[in-house]
Amino acid sequence: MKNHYFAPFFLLFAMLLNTSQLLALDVKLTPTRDYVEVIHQGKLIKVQRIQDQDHTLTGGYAKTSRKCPPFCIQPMQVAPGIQVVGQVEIFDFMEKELLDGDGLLIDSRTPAWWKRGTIPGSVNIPFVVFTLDPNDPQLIEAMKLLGVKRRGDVGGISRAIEEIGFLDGDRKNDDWDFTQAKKLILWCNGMWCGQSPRAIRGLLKLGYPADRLFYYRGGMQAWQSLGLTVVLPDEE
Amino acid sequence: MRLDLVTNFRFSACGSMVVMLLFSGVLMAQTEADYLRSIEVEASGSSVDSETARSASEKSGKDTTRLFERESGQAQGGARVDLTAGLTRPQFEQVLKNSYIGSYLFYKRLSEAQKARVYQFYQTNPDPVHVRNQILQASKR
Repeated sequence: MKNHYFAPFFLLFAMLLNTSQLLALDVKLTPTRDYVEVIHQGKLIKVQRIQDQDHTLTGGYAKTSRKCPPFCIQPMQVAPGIQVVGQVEIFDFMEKELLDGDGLLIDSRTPAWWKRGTIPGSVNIPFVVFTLDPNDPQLIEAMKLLGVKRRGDVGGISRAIEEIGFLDGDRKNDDWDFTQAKKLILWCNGMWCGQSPRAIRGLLKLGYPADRLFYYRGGMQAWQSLGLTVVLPDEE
Repeated sequence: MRLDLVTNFRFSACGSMVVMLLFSGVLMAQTEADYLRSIEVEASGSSVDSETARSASEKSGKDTTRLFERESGQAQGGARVDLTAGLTRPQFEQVLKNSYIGSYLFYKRLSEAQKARVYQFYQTNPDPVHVRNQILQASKR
């Protein structure tokens, strides 16, 4: 009789257990994270890994060799003071800085690459933009997106005060005001790609603070090799 | 005669320096152009693994476009207001909407009970980082 009472509860418990096991992913991002959600072109995109454990990489990123130069292996240190990040740091970034607009994930590749697939949450600012003249509207627009303001004529006295370290002088130069500069993670095709290193060097040359710049060296190559979600951007 | 030689030498040295500088400038521009050409050629043959690719306009991606456009427009209007202690729930939601648009998008998707729990949490700990974590955790439940 007692068994009769317990049987339905046991069955229910077994069913619940089974459902939760079905919902949990076998291939997680990290031991505690199944996926991260990120806003891409106004839509929520779930970033997760391919669940088929027999899947092997196909497409352009399965290729091992390209002519060098120009497709040469990049060093870890692309410029002094620039930190290198990996995928887990990108997941954290997606859930923190990116979510609240304090940071940007920048696909530094030319539009031809971007439209063939990008990391969700990224914006496309090709590296060439950061080599333009400070008066170029395209550069001014891009810098605005990064939280950097173009400065008008700054008085000699104000500049002199800034240069000795007052009025946030360490975050300003003759052309730009970096006091609200966002934290940026720049990436391109991976270890063999020179586009994001060029973008980083371009930004540094413009005066962008090195402590706000991060280099995702693994880029699309590493992202793909882990079977992580990629988005095909809408035509803008 | 000697002076002529020296002058000629000076001129020819200056001339060759100018030529060299011009040449190096042209060479650099050409190298950059070559680099751009190479990456464009490589791009034309590249594609991502179709198993990983999702279209940004896929129906499965929850469309937040209208909400995002409307609200981010508002957010850009004024100065960013930080979460401070002691806000009423409407004020709390307004600050989220204006200053923490990403977190707000997730907050909007929560049930009424979950929203109430987030607000309750905020009352004990108004730190935006912790409030954001609370919203994210609730949205995954």
